[in-house]
Amino acid sequence: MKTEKLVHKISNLSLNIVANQVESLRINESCKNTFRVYENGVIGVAGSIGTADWAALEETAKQNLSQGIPYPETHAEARAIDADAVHEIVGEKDFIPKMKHLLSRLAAENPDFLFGNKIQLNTTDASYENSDGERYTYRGNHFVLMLTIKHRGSANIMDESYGCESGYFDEDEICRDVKLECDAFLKGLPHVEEDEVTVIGGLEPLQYAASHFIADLYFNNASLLAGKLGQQLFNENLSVTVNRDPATQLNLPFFDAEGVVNEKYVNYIIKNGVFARLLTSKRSALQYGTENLGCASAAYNGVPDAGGDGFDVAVTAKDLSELVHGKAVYLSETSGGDMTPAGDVSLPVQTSYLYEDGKLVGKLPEYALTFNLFDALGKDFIGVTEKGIFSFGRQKHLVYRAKIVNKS
Amino acid sequence: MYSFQRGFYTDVRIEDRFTTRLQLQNGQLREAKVTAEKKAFIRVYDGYMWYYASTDDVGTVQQTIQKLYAYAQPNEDIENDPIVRLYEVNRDEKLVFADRCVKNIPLGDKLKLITETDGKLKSPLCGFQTAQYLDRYSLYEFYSSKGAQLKYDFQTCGVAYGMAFTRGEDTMREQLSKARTSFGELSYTDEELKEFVSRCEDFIQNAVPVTAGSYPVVFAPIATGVFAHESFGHKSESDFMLGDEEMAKEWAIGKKVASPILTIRERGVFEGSGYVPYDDEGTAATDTYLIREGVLAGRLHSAATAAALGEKLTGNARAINCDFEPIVRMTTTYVEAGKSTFEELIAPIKHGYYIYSVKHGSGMSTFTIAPNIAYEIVDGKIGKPVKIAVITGNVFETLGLIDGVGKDKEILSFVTGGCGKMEQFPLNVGMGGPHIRVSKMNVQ
Repeated sequence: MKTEKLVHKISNLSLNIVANQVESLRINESCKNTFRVYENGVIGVAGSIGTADWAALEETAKQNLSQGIPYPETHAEARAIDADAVHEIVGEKDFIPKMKHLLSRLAAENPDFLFGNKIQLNTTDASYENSDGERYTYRGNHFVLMLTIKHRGSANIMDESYGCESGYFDEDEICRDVKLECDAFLKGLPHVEEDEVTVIGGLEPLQYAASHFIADLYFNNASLLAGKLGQQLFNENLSVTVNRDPATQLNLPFFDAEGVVNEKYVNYIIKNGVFARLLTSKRSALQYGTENLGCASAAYNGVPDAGGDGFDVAVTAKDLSELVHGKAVYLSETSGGDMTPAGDVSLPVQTSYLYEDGKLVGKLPEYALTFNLFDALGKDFIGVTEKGIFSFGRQKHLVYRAKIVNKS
Repeated sequence: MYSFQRGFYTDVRIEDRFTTRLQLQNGQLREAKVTAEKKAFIRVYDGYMWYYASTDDVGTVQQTIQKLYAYAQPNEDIENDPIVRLYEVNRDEKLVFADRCVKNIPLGDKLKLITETDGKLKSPLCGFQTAQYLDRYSLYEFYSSKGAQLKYDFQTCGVAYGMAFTRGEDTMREQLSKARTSFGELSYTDEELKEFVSRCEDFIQNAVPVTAGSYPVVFAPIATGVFAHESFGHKSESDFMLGDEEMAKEWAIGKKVASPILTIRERGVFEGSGYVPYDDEGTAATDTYLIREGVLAGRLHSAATAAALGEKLTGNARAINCDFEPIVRMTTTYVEAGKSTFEELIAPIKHGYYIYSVKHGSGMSTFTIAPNIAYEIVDGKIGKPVKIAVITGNVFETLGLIDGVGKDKEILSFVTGGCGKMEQFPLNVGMGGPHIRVSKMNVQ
């Protein structure tokens, strides 16, 4: 028999912003506890919220073995790791006044716009231990800015957004970024003449690909990638990882929901274009005889399964100037795209900007982008940088070529 | 019940939520989770700012209220605050589901239901299938410093059978699902199961690509529901108008915004996933016409938005659970029935598309639906299945391009997924309507 105990505490201060004003403060504190038992090839799980009664949880978990949910019992060597990734961001007492000051500056510097949504300070305190003697603790925090930006008089719910996560707060950087975006919004441009463009986006193509990396789908012939593990499917400059490195990731425990800690906290799904590993839990890795990626997630009272926390893409260029030569479109608001069974993606673009000579030139009309998933991550992939258009926080950009259709 | 201090508006929402989640994957049990959580969400308002806290220990609600009072500033005139004045003082107990509560159905019966049905869903083209049983029973309590005292319940239960079909390099996943409020209504007939598999097999074997362009499109009721919810429902949530005086003029009640054959309504009274007898501010459900015969007829409110715009409460302040504050959300949004049969809707179409099932939809300035199964319409008849990534249209243009409304209205409930708005996902909602025809949409 093997047992595991997990504790996940979250503390969250959240400001709601309505029309440039702080409308509310929300204080959330929660603690979730998990006890798992593995015996004779099955798992029993029990969970609770609040203060844990571990004896009761253990009893319930053992009772739940009778549900007969198959799950392998794995063992590891004893070791302990403690990580403290808490950043000095903003003191709790200063949080509201500093954010009010930020909002008053944003409103004054961008009088044609209304700012809304959330500003948050989040802290995570997580631990994992098992009967093999593995014991991990993590403490981290981050600042989250999720601003919706609405042009006054617009009939839209929102026209723009500015969002990012960081381990620090810098009002000047945020104000500079938002002004760049708002100024560009006000300069309306005609459509680009080209039918194919360089795109500065987020991780959109990877999001469409993500479920096809799940081992359960892959080995049951339900993935576009079926039978292609180990092949050079993508551009040789593309590397996609599960990255739980506390030195670079914000507010993310370095261990997954099953206590798996990867070497240097990183493991590869795509390495230099080669389809290297699948999204797995310990169960699916053993079931299919493949290497475990270390990306399990689980509800506090649920059975672990493959998840996507820490999904990351490796940087290939120090900044956008290495990737974009001439014109490009910067995607700001996209919504509702999808993919056909053959991997052809259509992505409606609500707000985008022409990017040229290292700056945002102006706002483009609405259109849709189309690309094939394998092409966008293959022959049409240009690179990745985290030094893009804006200064504050971490905002990775994936750069690729795609076709423009439906020019409105 | 609780001691509320003068000088503040205070309310307490408590939810005792029971859920079950059973999952099979390729016939093997993967999850059997029964969850019971009781949480509270407390709000304090001093006329200037709101202060919220959630707690998973309902024994500490009074201490949490006192903690929030320490953040706020007492306001002797709080009772005359425009928002506070609007709050209804309802006292009611409305337990609709207690006598058929899913808590009382043995776990073995729930497992048997999906195991037997899953066993009947077979196809040589499917290598991966899942079966889920999900239920929820919530007992809500609500108390306010104005004297509101409510106790009411909510229930959904449902099944969702997912199958992944493969042929050559193509894959497609489709789900057969049913959501109800009584466990006894969740079974499928053998004919329904065969029809589902056969339709998917036909799609994966015969679906052809489309030539991107602009075409007439006919929506099945599920697509109509997504359209009503995404295209206009979200725009009817009036929190986006706050602080923007020009918007109030732009969105004046009485303005023509759609085809005269279109009526969209919003009601929280239907038993199902959009059942909301009282919202999370204690406001009773109302019947709100968003669009009536093409004319803007109403919008959705919390007390804050109703006060700001000088309109009535509509019972649409909702939170996904007791970790979040209520914001303006939909309940059940649907298009009213028209006069046409399905055959009459497709008859005049020389070349267009029929959207039979939907993966997801979204709506900002552009409305988008990602179909799962779709068919071409040729010379007024349903033709081959087609592979469509998305159909899109400008929201306001599309509302004006609806030129046919069926008489076959369906109000649909859902047991998986839900509505997302900002940080709050998923919220249980209902939606629906009849088949409708749009004269022109972008098909890709």
